[in-house]
Amino acid sequence: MLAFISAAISAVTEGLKLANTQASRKYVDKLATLKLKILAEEDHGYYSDDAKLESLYKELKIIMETAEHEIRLAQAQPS
Amino acid sequence: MKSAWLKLSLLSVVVTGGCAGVEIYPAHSLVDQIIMPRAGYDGKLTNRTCGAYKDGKCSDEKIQTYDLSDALFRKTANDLKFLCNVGGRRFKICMDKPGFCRFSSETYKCGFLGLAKCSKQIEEYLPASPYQFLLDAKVKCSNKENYPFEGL
Repeated sequence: MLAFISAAISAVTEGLKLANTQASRKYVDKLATLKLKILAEEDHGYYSDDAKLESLYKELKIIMETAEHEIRLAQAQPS
Repeated sequence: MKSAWLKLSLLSVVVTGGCAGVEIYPAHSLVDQIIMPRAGYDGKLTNRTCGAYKDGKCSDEKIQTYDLSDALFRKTANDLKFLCNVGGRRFKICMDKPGFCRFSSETYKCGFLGLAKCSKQIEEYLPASPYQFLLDAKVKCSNKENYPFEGL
């Protein structure tokens, strides 16, 4: 996994933890699961499943965007 | 006190002498390159560099070529974790044949009464010829760590 993608996941995860909503906790779990799946598949090296990695990265992009939206929503809520 | 200094300087000579013996190999030139097919270079991937510019135009163009039928190149590219974008899809340079490979898996029912689930690996192969297809598919290969924004 690229270093900057890993860093982006960590940053979004921190944001989600601060938001601390029901949905944000769900996204934290989802991001961790996706990261583990990508790392496990990339571990196969040359024989890694390209189709699976493609779809995992696409899923990761969608979750990251939704998570970002969730963080913004939580920030906009009056405390 | 004098002997302590002597020991210290002797130690530093040993340490630095030990480091001087370590060979540092330069990074492979391929790592920093984006390689792609180019018209007129059938069966090869190329990297274009410009040695000198004159009036905003390249006056000293150098094109480095990598033959897809060269097994050593294919192994090196894979060792350097090269990935290729073939028409927006993720491929690798095949290790065992000239062309591009993409792996996926298929699950199917197997075992007694088909109650178990088995999976088999499917290899999709794009040969180096017809070369025109590679040109049309805008194939680009690079090391993902160095060029993370090259598609895929």
